[in-house]
Amino acid sequence: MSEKFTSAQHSGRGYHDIGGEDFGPIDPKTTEVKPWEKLSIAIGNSMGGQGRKVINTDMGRRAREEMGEKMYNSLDYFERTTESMKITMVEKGLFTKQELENRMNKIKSCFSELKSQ
Amino acid sequence: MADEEEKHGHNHDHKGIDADAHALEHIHDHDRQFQADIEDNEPEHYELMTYAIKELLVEKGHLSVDEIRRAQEKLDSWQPSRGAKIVARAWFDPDYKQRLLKDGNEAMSDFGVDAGGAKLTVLENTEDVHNVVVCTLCSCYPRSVLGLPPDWYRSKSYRARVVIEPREVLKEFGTDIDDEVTVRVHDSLADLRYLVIPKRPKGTEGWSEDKLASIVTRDSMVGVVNPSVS
Repeated sequence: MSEKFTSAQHSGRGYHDIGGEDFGPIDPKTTEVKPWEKLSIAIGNSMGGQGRKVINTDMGRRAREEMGEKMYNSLDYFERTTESMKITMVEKGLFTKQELENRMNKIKSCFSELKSQ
Repeated sequence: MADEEEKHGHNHDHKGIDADAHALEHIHDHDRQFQADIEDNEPEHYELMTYAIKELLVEKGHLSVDEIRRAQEKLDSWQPSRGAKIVARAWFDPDYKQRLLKDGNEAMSDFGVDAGGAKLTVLENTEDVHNVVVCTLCSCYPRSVLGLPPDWYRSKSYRARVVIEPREVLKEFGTDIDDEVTVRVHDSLADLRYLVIPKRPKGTEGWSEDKLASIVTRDSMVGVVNPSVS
């Protein structure tokens, strides 16, 4: 397979465009969707076409297809969904990257506190 | 700890689950808006990010907690059982099946389905044609009738391979398609989702709609298996 390009910026085949490649046997095992994964989807839905209409599926797709091959391949489905939602929301000015980082650290320290008790 | 004990007005035994429960209480004292679901593990990066996004959106007035709750309830209502009812109606009522095949969105609104702008196309499996659905570019799926897509549908193996060797892939699901039967693979898009009406198995003559619905599985509505009468 030749080098892959980011679809919106270059012509050619994007790294997300994997139809026809060989990734080996399909693992039929299914897992429960985790609560945070469901929450992430629900947030996306309520900000998207079924809710406030601030974001939409195409914006999410574009973010996924431009996050870079390395990141795309290192994340699972719900992680990608969350990452692309974050990219879109930061671009829309709903919050800044710094605000998000600070808040994540704050929440993390709450969990650590919880653990240490 | 002394100040906390004072705040809660009673003593806690800081061990195991009780201690965690206490800590959760403590977190709520600080008006945290997330809930820790899993006691043992610290949240991963994207779990933390999700909680943080929720808090920021709510604080900044972009979204209310109630809207998120309603979106979660809606998500919970999207189950394969909904698709199964639609397929059973199509098996039971030929006129309804024609409506479905003509305009999926219109016919599915009988069941309260709102696909949120995406076109729902219904495909019928027959003696001559077997349809199977994929989304090679991401994992587009008719969520409003089947719920969230299963792991294998989201997997790169399925996305990549079913378009090039569908019969082999179907075999991995235990589905053998006769050589004379055409296999059609439908690649979904953000704006176009598919639902398969599987072939009604023999031995279901005279069944009620509810009984028919009981044998229609999620995987059969994606087209990777055929329903059977056990």
